Amino acid sequence: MNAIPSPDPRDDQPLRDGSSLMAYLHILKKAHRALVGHDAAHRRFMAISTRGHARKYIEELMPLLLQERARHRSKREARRKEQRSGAPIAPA
Amino acid sequence: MSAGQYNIQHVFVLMLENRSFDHLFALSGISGITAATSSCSNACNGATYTFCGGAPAQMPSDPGHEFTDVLEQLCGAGATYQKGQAYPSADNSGFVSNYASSKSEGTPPQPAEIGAIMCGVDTRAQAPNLYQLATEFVLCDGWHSSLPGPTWPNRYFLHGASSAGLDHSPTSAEMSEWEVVDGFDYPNGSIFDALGADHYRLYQDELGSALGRVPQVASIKGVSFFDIDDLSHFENDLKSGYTARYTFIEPGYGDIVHGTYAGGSSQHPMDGLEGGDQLAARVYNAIRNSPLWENSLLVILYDEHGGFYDSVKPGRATPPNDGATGSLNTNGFGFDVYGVRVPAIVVSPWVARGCIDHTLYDHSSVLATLARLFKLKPLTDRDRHANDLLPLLTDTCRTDCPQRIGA
Repeated sequence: MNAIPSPDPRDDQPLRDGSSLMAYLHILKKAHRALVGHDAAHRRFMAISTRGHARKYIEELMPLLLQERARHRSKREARRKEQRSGAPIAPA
Repeated sequence: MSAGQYNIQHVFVLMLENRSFDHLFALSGISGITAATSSCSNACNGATYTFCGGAPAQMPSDPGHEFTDVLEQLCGAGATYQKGQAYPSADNSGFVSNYASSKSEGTPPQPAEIGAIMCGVDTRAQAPNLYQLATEFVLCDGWHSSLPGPTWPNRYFLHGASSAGLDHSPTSAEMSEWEVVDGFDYPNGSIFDALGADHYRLYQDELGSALGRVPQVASIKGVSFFDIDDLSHFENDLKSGYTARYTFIEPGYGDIVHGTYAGGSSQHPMDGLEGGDQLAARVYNAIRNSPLWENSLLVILYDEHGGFYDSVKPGRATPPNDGATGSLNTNGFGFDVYGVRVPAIVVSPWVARGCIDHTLYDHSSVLATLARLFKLKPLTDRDRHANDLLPLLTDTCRTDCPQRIGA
């Protein structure tokens, strides 16, 4: 169910400012900044001008972001486990 | 204090997308609801469109719901809003004319298709899990979106009883400015700030299109994309050691790139009802079969009406009065009127079976409920004055709640 659809004729359409899509892309940029820093994330983001670029951006970023999310979850779970067991709590 | 109020330790919220109350429930056959009838109509280009059944599974085009769209929907074609003036009188007469002409969400539909905005769904057939939850627990028919505008500011109201003045979908320039402080910033903080990191959890449905796995809540300052867990963990997380007082769950948004929202679970009008209906069942079943069930309250609601017709006029609302600057307030809206009515279902073993609740709510009612349950301070004047859900809680823990729903 996680398949990303194949190329779409609308991929050439320009992105519209103030659209939901642009706003969602900014959320991904925020996450990307946390991984690679502002300058690199900003450079990559500024290369997006069409729906096709947006799609490629998501396809490129999502695996990295989900991997990092899993790492954060592991840390959170370890911390919660320590809290429940009364063991010393490692920094978040 | 009722026994129910004493026992609720975990509040869960699942917020879906873009459906009005009448669109989803007017034709449900559920008795006692305040709902549209065939006497409700909109006129457009000399034709009259009455409220009726037969809503398509997917809308032919995405109905507009930006501030100026909702102004027309509520106040009629040609309505204008003057900054600093009262919101015009609503008569809910402009839903068809707006659907016929608005380009906010793309190309308008063909003329023959514009009446679809006045159509209600067959709830029992098209959203059977939501129908079952509505009839087994409490269906609210007085819940309004927090402002007559789009997704983003309405979702911000759920998270902070304010949108910091935002009355439109944010622009790229606005979001770039938020980067300076690492996200959308509430003058008084969000509910997540108020609760503290160990007392809330965030999930997003991981099924469906990978393009839509972008949680809107991660746009807020203090919330990271990496703080959100896949919903695949939810059932197991609930089994032991779950201490979060508040859990917020987002659907998958489907194909956001091409605007079809296909493969999502948000119930976006372009995608249909099935994914979100299954998601509601998945969330219910996980909580129902967890050790937390007898200490739980689940609210299923919708961010805004998505352009669909509703027959109830929104009333006056309390502005947040949180000192937000006017920089995001493009339309000059005073946040003194609610948005269009949306569906809301309250699920708990501590609520009465098949109850219809006519109380006036908006998204800040979730925050008011959390504040009064867990002794938190209100975030703004909006949640300070909002009705909460606590009167729905009874002294009896029901034993007749369905063990599982859905396929």
